[in-house]
Amino acid sequence: MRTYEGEFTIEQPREKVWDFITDANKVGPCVPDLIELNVENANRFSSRVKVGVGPIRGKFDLAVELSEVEPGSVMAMTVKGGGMGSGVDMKAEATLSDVEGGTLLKWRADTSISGPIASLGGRLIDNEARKIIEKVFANLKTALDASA
Amino acid sequence: MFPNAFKYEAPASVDEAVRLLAEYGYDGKVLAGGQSLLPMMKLRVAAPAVLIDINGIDALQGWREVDGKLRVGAMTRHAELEHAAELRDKYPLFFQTARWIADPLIRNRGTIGGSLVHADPGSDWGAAMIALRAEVESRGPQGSRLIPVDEFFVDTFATALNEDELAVAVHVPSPKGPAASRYMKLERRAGDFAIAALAVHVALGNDGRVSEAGIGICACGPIPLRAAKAEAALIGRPLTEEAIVEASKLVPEDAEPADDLRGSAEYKRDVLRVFAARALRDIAKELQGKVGVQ
Amino acid sequence: MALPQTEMRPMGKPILRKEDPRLIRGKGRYVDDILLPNMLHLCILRSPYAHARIRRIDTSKAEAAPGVKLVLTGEDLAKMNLAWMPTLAGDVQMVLATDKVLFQYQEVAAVVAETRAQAEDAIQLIEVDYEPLPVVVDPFKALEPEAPILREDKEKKSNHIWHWEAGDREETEAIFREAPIVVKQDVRFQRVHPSPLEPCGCVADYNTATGKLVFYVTSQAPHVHRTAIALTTGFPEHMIQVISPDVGGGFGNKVPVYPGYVVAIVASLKLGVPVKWIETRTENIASTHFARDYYMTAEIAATEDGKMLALRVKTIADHGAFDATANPTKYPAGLYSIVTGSYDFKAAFVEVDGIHTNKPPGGVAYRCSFRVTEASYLIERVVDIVARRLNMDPVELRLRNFIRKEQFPYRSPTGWVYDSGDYEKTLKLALERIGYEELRKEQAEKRARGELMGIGISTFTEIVGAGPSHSFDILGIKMFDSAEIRVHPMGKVIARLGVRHQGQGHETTFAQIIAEELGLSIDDVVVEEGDTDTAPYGLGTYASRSTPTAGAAAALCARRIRDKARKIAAHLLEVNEDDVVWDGAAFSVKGLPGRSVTMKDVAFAAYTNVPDGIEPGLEATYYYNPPNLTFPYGAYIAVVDIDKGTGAVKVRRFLAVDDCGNVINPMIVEGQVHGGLTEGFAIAFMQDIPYDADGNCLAPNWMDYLVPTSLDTPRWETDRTVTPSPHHPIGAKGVGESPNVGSPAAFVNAVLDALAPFGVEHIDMPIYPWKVWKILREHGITE
Repeated sequence: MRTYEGEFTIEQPREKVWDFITDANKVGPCVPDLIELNVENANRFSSRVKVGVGPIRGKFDLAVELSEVEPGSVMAMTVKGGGMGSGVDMKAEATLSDVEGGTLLKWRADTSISGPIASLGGRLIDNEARKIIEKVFANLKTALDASA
Repeated sequence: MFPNAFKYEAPASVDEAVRLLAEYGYDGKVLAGGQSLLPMMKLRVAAPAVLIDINGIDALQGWREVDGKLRVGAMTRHAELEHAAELRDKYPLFFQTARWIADPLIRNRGTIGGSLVHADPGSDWGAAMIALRAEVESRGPQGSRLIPVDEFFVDTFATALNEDELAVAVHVPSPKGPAASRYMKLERRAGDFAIAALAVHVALGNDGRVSEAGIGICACGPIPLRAAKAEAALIGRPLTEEAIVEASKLVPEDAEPADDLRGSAEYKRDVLRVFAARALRDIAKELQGKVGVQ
Repeated sequence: MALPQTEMRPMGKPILRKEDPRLIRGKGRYVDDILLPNMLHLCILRSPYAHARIRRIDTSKAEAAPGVKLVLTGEDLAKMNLAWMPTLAGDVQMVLATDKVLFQYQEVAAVVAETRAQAEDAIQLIEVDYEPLPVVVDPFKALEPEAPILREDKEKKSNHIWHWEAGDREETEAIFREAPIVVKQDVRFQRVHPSPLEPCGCVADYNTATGKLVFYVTSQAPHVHRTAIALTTGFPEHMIQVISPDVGGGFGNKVPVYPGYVVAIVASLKLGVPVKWIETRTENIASTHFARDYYMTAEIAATEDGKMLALRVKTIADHGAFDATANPTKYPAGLYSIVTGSYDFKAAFVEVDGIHTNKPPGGVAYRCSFRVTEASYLIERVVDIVARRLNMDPVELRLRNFIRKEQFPYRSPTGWVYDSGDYEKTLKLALERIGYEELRKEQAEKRARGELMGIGISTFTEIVGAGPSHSFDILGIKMFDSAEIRVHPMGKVIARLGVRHQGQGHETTFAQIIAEELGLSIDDVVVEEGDTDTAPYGLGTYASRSTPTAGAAAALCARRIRDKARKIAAHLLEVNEDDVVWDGAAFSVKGLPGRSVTMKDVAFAAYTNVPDGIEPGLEATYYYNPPNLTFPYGAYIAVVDIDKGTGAVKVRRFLAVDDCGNVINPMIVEGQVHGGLTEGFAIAFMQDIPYDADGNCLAPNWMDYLVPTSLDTPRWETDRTVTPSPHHPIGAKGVGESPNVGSPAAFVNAVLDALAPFGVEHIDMPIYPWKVWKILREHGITE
């Protein structure tokens, strides 16, 4: 299990941010390198993504579920899926708080990678997993900023 | 241990290779020496739809000196650079580095261009090319360009090459004045990727002071890194024990190692410091008496 | 063609290996070389998760893939009652998972296709829906009350498998209560893997017309495999022929029966054509049997003047998901109670607890007799710590505590009867050869200059040659071994044995034994092993048992032939049998050495000129039940230098003085010692199979599971003393495993000797440079 975390500020009221990050229709497109997106309902979506780290190229199928932990401030996201004979399981949490000029979003993701990719990628996987997860949240910020 | 099925192309010229790269885009993958790519394909963590084999392109082989630079073709094998007698005096870092790469079988097939483009942070050539301030010559549909090595490595497995660009050569400036170099590597087992490694190149001016300093760090960050602070500390100074100790202490400051099975970040930083001091001492000894003033 | 060698009286001579011309020139025949008409290829889908519930397996896409003939899942096998199979340790193991998986890379489904590539493509099309479960990788955490129960199939709802003990608890406790000095140390023997060059594999060939199953398998124990297959599948034993062709290294890895074998057999039975399954390197390291993985705690009670009194050992054994060690039935921790080693303790008490974790099963004897390497490493490590605490030279402490040569046969406090030994003589030879006094002087000078040099000693005792029928069996079958010798009319011999060599040189050494006993040249003798249709029943080659058991059988079988030959010789010489003498080369008439016949003459007569009352032919079979085990031993010395800047250890010298009793072929013994030392070196400095918290194997290939190259390997120096086994027919003891058993402690002791000025008493293997650097750093040592 690896834990990654980060935070950023969005120049928008907390309520608006909350509505955004708990809507599968909005969050779904923030997954990087999407090939296919299937929003099942407001809380669930499945996606197929392209993974391309140098020569390591393949497709991953991910099922994502969004849930409210503390309405208006804490939401959880579980990601389950895999590809190329490997599995990915992630439990992420985003916490919102009011700050001057907008909303602070703090996130933390506990990630388990199973299978050959975890076994083979020892030297490299940490950096790669962190980058992909950071990209999800960076895309989220970009989308939120754009929606302002 | 069979790869997924793939389409195979074997262009005979650089132009044809570039055309194929443009045609296949994301699906195309260049096959150089194949010593990293093929194992990954056999383990099925890499499954390119199309392999573009550039082994048949003669223009990518060999080396020559042009305009104060050594131009090494991208498809030059590690073993050729290890054994090239004519490069030993002027460009010793080539053989000093090549002999540390994996094992003789891999050195017979693997290529300098393939290694650089693969952009593994543990690539020995990456650190050496940083020390030598190399440039990567690429060719794309828009023509050729030279990419300084510091801009070439973008991230682990990621380079500044566009999807439709082919690396065709590396250019290394000829040293001005007496120069020496060392490649220092610590491995868990002969032929292993480095725990930490360091490439050091130093040239002296007529005044006996350091005129060129290049220090490349291997396996201690997402990409090969430059020990810029240590380099700066050496420039303009004679290679005294004091200068060596001072510079070697600065090397770890530019490293970004991670804790892993090969050791802690702290450990790797210290190995870099030790290697820098040892390399510089050796170099100082080698260069002693090579310039008038010392 | 073998090299011409016409040695008579070949015993003890460095005769070139008869198998080498074939193997070196690529003319060996390994299991993957076997190509049969209409043969199909099997590939196995493995779990990415270390612990997960299987909710659903969808094989439809794989079934429709090009070339696919059969897809098998655990459910298919369950219908045949084959989803689980018995292990050699009395547990059961999943062949293909049904409801859940228990380790990463566990077998989940299989595809049989026309080509290997098609099979590999098709397994990627099998969709498995896993529900990940909490993973337990640490055996200590597995024992905590809140730990998930891994083996829900078992009646006992605990991750604890068994508790085993040896020795006398009360007597030991009593000594510890009174002891002036007690030294205690935790010592880990990490999880390693035998990692033979050739991975596991098989070809199952079921003939629908004859009803016979020919099973080619890379096996150290073909007869055991045949019995196991018959017991598991219910297939009639006489209709199974197991053939173990040339074996590309075993080291214990090829004793167990693996799920892939069962799946290949089922596939061949279902399809009526041969089915081949060959593992990949990753499958070999990450799913077949590992070795060691012991967490040991030793305590030694001693007097202040260095007499060691009692030993107490507690051990946690990580067995992984299934208890599948290949140990004799009565010894779940193998012969671990040999842990008192070469020392005369008054009392000892040893306990071991076997634990389940989410890791591959195993615990094979990797180039060692069952769990003897763990024991030997522990005692040799802790004895050094005792010496340190008493401020005594480790040589002096050892000499003071050795079992003396007049004490043999010696009954150890855990019940073993050591057959023979002269430990002092062997250690003294080693000290003299390495120049111990000079090395200590050099070390003192270097220490004064701040340089780090260490000298490490290991004086181990092995216990091999399992074993006597009263105590030793596998699957209930007693651990005897056998030989059958046929002398043909021209005096040429075919000998077949129940063991199966994998590099030990049986084709040469057993030919030497037989040629010696029969007065023939080794070129007259061909040794065949590995085919259950032709070889007599035997338990196989592992645990250094071939020479102690089958080697003895070969000698006694040859003597049985000689007894009959004497009768025929008497007939040819026209004298009474009592007047015939055997001089090692020929039979002659007592007092008339000129009147003689050779074994060749006798052989011809056995088919052409047999006296009345004597059965024609000249052949014999011998099943040898050893009266005791054998106890090879040695004195090893390592000299190391440490790089203060990087923590890297350089082994400057290594001397192994072995005593394996009488030597059949000194060149082969030396080769065995070199190989085992290289493995011991790898274990001490390089090898480990770590798992992350999710149960991912972090060294499933040779990029991360490090096998030393010739560039890494030190130069080995060897010598020997000879203390023959009193109960073995030719006084031999077995040697293949001594160097792996004895050397890790010498390497580690040398490193710790170098670090002695800092008061560091122990470092766990493998000694990576960073571990040494960390210690140096903690003590302010830097370059």
